[in-house]
Amino acid sequence: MTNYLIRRIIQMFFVIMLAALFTYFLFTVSPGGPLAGIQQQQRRITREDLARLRANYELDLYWPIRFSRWLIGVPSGPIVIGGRELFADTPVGCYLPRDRQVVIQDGQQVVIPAGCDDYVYLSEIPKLHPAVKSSRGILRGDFGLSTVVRAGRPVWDEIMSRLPATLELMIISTLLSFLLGIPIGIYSAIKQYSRFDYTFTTISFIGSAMPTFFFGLLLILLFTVFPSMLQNTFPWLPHLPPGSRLAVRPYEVAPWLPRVTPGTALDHFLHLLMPVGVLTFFYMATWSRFVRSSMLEVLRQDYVRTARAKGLYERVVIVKHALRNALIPFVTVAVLTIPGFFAGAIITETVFAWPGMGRLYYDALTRSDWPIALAFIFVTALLTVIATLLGDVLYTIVDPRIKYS
Amino acid sequence: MSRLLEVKGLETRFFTQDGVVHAVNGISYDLNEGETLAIVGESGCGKSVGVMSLLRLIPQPPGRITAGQVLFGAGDDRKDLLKLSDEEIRQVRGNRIAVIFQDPMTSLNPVLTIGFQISEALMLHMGMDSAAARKRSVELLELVGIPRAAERLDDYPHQFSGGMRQRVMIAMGLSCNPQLLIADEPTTALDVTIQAQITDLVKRLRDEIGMAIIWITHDLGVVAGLADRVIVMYAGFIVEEAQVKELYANPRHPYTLGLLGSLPRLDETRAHRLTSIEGLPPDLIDLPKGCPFYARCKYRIDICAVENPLLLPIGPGHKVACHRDISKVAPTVVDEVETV
Ligand SMILES: Nc1ncnc2c1ncn2[C@@H]1O[C@H](COP(=O)(O)OP(=O)(O)O)[C@@H](O)[C@H]1O
Ligand SMILES: [Mg+2]
Repeated sequence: MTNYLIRRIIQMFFVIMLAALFTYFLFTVSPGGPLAGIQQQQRRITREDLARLRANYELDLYWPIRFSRWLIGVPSGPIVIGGRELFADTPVGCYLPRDRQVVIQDGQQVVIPAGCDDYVYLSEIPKLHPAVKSSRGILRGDFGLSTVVRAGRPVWDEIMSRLPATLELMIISTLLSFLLGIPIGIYSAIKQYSRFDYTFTTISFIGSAMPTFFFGLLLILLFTVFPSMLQNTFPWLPHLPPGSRLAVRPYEVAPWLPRVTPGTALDHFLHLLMPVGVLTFFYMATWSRFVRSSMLEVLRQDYVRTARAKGLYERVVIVKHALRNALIPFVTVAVLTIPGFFAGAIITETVFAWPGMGRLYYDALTRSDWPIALAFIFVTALLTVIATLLGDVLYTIVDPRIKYS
Repeated sequence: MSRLLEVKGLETRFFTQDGVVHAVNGISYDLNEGETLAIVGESGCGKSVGVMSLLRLIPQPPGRITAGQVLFGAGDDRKDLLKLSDEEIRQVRGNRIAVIFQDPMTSLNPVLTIGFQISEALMLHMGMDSAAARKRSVELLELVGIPRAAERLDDYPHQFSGGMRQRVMIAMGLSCNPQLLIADEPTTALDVTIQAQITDLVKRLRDEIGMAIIWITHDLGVVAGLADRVIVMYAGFIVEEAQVKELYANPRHPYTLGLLGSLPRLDETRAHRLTSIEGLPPDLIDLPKGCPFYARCKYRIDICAVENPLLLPIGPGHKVACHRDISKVAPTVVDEVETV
């Protein structure tokens, strides 16, 4: 087992490194980026201004150099061994790329870089990218600075300020969905083809097929928009806050409820209702289907028949003999929700303006804040491989047949 | 010997999407205390469903026992198992009637220890506390010949071989001293040498404990040394019933004849081609109107196509469902068969 763990952890390390390299590369080659649109917006921008902007985002460095600096914080200058600077004159980037204008068939002019007028050398890095501005590398726990969303602020601080909102939303929804989905799945399986089963398989089908943004908007329509529209006819209709995590000023939900003061538990609760509702519904649909099918699979097994033939109470047959086995795949899949506790729910958070990680990632992507986006992906990937390992280890605990060596 | 079990007109159907599966079609038989009855027939002919219906262990839905009576017990204690409440039938299962299944690899719960699985029934039916049940479990495992029984109590099923698991199943079945043990092809999934060991074990235990046994098999060969009486089933019907010696000496149904003809014989001097019955059993959803064996029968006559023969006595304890007396039509193919 120890050997197995060591082997797995080494494997995980390589998987993470590959994932980091791959995502970094994808961000590098993908169109857009922090400078996209600048040239269109300001046609008069000079080459020198552009170069300065590029340097601001470290775009003057070649991408493998940038990647290495992002990952482990080197090179931050020439390599010094025994007082001698090595590779000081090695070019590591291009400060002033040479432009050449090319005309394409339909008459549009496209700028294509060709060669370089001013290379960046290793020895120039400390001057161009002083340590205060650059990171010590994500592997050393420094995620660098945000470029757009919170320009100049450390990514880490931003993540920390967003994480509580996401943890709250995700943990509540996940636990609720387990609490509802598991019993529903079990009961559906026991009473297969009953009215209960049909009702809930239909509901779960809807739940997992309906996009969360649609369901989210539907809820906002039902609990915010309609109650406001119908205020005169049905004044007692509750009116839920449509977004964000806390209110700024006191508000009224329904005449039969006291006025809500911002920051109170009630305010908190009311803001949570809709996003939690959407996510719980969505996850519950998945879990009840999962548990139902694995329970059905187990109920067909010979050993369940053996248990019945022994004269055990049906309750004991279900809980001790069937459920115990049905939960084996569940447990190992359920740990895969862990990365979600960090990553949040991108769409739901965006729909409800929930100030969490998913929303942050969405903003980072749409506004090309690469340091935030990369940190998000990196941590999520890390948590995913950890959760996978955890699932495999849990397997050995819940299933006596599995032994790793 | 008093009557222990009386099955009357038992009929079990499966209501599936493809149609109604006529798995068991009104079978009647009885069983005395301490007697061993073998039920033979090709696979799919309703043997398992027939006995599982006794304990109402068929999956419902789609299955349903549509007719019949299953009288079980002696004297005043006699009850129709099909009329008991769920709670009452539960008290019979594993306690007065125990079952051993075909595949020991899948019949034990993989995540529970052997000790737990045996103790469970003891605590439930015999009212033992966990220490007593554990002690008794060790005795039972020793009884069925599991070496180092005490140490193996906390092992899981996957740590046992197939034969050993079937021994565990037997120990589990016998734990509450049942009056009837139903063994549904208990050796089919095992190696030939292990098969003999398990059969011998059950014989020995029967002689020690004295329970009645219903032994299901598709192999007439194992029946000879084990059973007192044999029932031959075909397409959910009983087609022949006789004492075991009588059946081998004087098989009267063409199907029984076919089954016997497909047995290897030890006293064979020349290489002899085993005859097997040609064709397939009928579709139980679409049963033919006449005799179910008609399509494969070498002795068929016109009436067989239109009328399903009744199971009628033809001698002491010998019943057969056939329109013809085949012993007069053709020489008996098999006179006596060695125990294999
Ligand atoms: N759960 C079920 N649903 C539908 N048909 C079934 C079911 N169980 C058994 N049957 C049908 O009943 C018939 C008898 O099966 P079975 O008693 O298991 O045969 P065997 O003689 O091999 O034990 C078969 O045709 C089988 O397809
Ligand atoms: Mg069977």
